[in-house]
Amino acid sequence: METDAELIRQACGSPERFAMVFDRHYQHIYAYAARRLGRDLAEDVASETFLVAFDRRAGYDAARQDARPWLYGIASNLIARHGRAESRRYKALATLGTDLAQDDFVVPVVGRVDAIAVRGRLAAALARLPRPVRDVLLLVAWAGLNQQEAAAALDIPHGTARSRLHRARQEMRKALGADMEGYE
Amino acid sequence: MTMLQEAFRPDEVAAPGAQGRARAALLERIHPGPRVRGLRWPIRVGLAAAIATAAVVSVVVIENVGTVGEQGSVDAPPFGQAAAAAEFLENAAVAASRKSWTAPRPDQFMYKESHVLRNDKELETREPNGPLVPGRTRVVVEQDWKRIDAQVWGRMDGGKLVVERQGERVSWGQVPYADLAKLTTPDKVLAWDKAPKNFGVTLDALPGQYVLPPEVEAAFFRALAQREGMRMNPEAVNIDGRPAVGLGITLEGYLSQELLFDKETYALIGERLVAIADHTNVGNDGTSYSRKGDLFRQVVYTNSLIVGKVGDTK
Repeated sequence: METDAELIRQACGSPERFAMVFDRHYQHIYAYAARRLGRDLAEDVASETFLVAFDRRAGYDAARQDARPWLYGIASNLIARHGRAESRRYKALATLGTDLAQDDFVVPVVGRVDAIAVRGRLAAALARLPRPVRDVLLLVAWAGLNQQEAAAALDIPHGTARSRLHRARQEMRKALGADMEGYE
Repeated sequence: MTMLQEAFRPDEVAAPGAQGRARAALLERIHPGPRVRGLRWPIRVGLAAAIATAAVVSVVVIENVGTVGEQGSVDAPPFGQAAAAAEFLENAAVAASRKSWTAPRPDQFMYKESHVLRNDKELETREPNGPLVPGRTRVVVEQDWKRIDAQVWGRMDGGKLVVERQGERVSWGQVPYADLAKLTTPDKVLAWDKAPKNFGVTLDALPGQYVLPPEVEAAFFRALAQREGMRMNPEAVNIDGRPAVGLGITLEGYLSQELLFDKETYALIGERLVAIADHTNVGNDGTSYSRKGDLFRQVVYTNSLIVGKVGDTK
């Protein structure tokens, strides 16, 4: 199977090859954007991500076989345009999480942290994080990139990504307290 | 990390149709639909004679939508070789020929919309033939509708739709659409270009003025490729966020009249007129000077399609 890099290179001469890159990665980009912005905006962001990527295909670094960091980086920049919407979403989730945690009908699953109960606090913490820090954290936690890939996606030095991730973890620990133990 | 992953599971799945819409948008970007608008005729008196044939078809300057950023002076083009121009135009022809198309009915309209870069009104009044001045420009939106049977012409004028009927208050020339539809090969296009016509219309202008069937548009591009003196400027300009390649001819030894194509999709996206050498114009009413790189005209084509009735934009 051709790598993403090969497809993108081919798409410089045969643009229709780029559709395969779309088919491979659309759902992942959509899911990532939806977690950060909700469904409606995610549809716009995911679509726009591939339009931007197509326009920039000539500048793609062929040494990167996997296009995911590149695509997530574009998506992150597009998400940044919706900063207020993202903050509103986290605040809404924070409220919801608090309500559910107080709801007698929400029964924690044995052996597993009740995600709903802590989601509110996580969302509140995410809302407080500076965007550059949040970008690194969520690229690692939600997009599944490693630290180096997150750095590449955001076009920042590895050391910067590392320090932002460290800061993000501290903030999340602070927000969750003892609940966070054992879940690094 | 695990907490973050688990707390926000499961992954959202795109709503039905979302992926399809996104894919369609991408394919449209890969193979753009009709969005051409070609050279209209120069509005500057000093250049009109140089560029010769004036159009009779509608040219409507309508609405000032505000200022634009610094887009004025551009680098003089280091012209590429003719072979490069031919190759690029062939790619443009292939891209054009891939567009989907349904032959229009006589009662349908060709809708054209473009954004024209112009100097502010004060500057334009003071020096109507001068180059565009960075920081003093504005964008003028032009919209018009020409019925396929040439009997109705609509335009936006100050935010109002004005509709004319042939022979009532005005008359205008329009190439019969049936004639255009027959120009399916470069030879036919070139023969048509040489044939006497009732009004002036230049070869390179036509793909931008009319909404052409894909194979006709492709034939026009291939005909342009055979035109003597056709040159490519690979670093023409960045318009509308897209890097453009200019293809055109030299006029009077110092002006380059170019069609602008998207560098990646080969779609026709605009036009410009730029000085490629310093020049002194000695006129009866004064002497003017043009500098290499002066931009005299820049137009971005923003919409071009067949619509059902006058006033429709999609």
